[in-house]
Amino acid sequence: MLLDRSINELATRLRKRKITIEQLVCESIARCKAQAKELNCFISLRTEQDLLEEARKKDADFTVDKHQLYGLPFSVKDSYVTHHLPTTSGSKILKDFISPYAATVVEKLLATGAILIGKNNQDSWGHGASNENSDFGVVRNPWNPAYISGGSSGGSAVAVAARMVAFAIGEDTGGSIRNPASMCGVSGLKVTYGRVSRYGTIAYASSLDTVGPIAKTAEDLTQVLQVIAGVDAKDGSSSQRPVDNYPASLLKPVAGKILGLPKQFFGTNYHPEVRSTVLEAIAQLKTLGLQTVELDMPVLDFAIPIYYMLASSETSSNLARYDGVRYGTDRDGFLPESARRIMLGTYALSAGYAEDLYKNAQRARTLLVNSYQAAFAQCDFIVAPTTPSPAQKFGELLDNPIENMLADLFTATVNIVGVPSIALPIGFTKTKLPIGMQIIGNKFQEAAVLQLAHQYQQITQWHTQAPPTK
Amino acid sequence: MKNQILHLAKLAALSISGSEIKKYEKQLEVIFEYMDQIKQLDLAAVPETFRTTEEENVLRGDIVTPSLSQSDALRNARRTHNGFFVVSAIMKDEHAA
Repeated sequence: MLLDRSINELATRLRKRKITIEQLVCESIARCKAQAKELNCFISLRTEQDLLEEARKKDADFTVDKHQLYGLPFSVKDSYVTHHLPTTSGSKILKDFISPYAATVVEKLLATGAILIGKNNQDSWGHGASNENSDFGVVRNPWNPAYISGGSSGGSAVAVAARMVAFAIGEDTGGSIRNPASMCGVSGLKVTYGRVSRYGTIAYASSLDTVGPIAKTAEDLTQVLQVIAGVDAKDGSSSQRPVDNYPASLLKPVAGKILGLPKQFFGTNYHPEVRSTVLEAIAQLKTLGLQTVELDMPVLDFAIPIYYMLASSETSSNLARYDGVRYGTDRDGFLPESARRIMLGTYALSAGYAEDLYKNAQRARTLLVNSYQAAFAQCDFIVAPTTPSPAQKFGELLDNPIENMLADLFTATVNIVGVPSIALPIGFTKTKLPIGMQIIGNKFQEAAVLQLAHQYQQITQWHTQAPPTK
Repeated sequence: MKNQILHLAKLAALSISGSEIKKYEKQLEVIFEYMDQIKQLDLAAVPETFRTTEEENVLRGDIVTPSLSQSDALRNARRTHNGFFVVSAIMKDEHAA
């Protein structure tokens, strides 16, 4: 299968005329036909005729100096506005919405010549870690359709894992790229806040939202990040720092670097197979010449209350715009997960409570920032599991708000502090469900985390494993 | 708690019906209690962090740049009139019949 191959391999084959873009797009269409309905990973797909026309035109225009991503099929989470296709954010409130403009991340990828196949299913408004909270139905895990895909960018992770696209764009506010990437056995990158423009992203929580890629490998992630990173005049919070050369950094030596292991992340209060697999992966990282240091970061124990107080407050404000006037339907269409977050946020921001709740969460956020800064004075990377358990069966997280929140236990602090983190596949449970791990770096250290992840993938094979196909 | 849920729903313009009120009452009670953990932290002297970006006051010149056309801007509106969005009345006219 062509879509088993890396972006570099596909680009090289296209250059040598060993394959055509039409072949690639045909394979993508065939993969979608075979499984997209069952796994429910797309909300909208372009028509076969439309895609084939674009592929043939791109084949005709192909020259060797085209971009690496030219002609490669990709998809985006339905939280990104696009021309022509609907943008729903997974909610029926926006079921008829067709945006009059496109997100910067989409514009940048289309400018390379990459081919947008469709828009991925998600927990509506990014609210959820299981992709069960979508008005377009649950997303199923390609490794075992009786299990959740993870969320909220579940559809994007599934489309990559099931080889329907070469890469996808997810959105991560508290773990929404990393969680489904790990549950589906693919790699996902949460970038430093501001590294990638958020323009055209349907906002969940504006001080935490980040735009990032999901792909099979760390190397593929660098190819996509290189295109989408950078300042954007349309997003005032996008960083003016120059963008690193990510692919060029991949092979720089990592020996002597220090991995920090927060003892709050390595207790025994989560799935034993996740814990033992992460410890095995750390042992393998040590074979690359890395050392480890134990960290004590007590404020990590408060991650979930701090995250939910901030994210709910911001989302209650952001979702106030869906009043049915300028677009969308009226406010009856919010699912229970969103209604709970809106009410919690409204409470935290309401007169008389804001000082105690919202502002104290912002003060606690400072403690987390300080804690990460102190940690990075002692180490180069922080290692953590991605999720406290592998993919669950459907229904286990619904209507259990605390369990549902705890799914973000290891991922949410990264957003609160604004640092980058890659999630990568590191093994399987006995029942063959993927397990993932995070490598967290200091701000704007995307090159370093991708480099370490890439070198881990040079000595392991987990990233080459594909789920059973039909 | 029930009154609090109804108050929050009113503030957030959410319509919540009978059986839902009971469900949210229970769930939000558990959530609020869980959130109370933050009170265990000593925060009196800690400043707030509202954002993690390094950028400050990103401004641009006050120059007209290309923008959406009026028809594009109105394309998703439920109701329009002469190039305007039509909204439901939010205040009652006491003198009207």
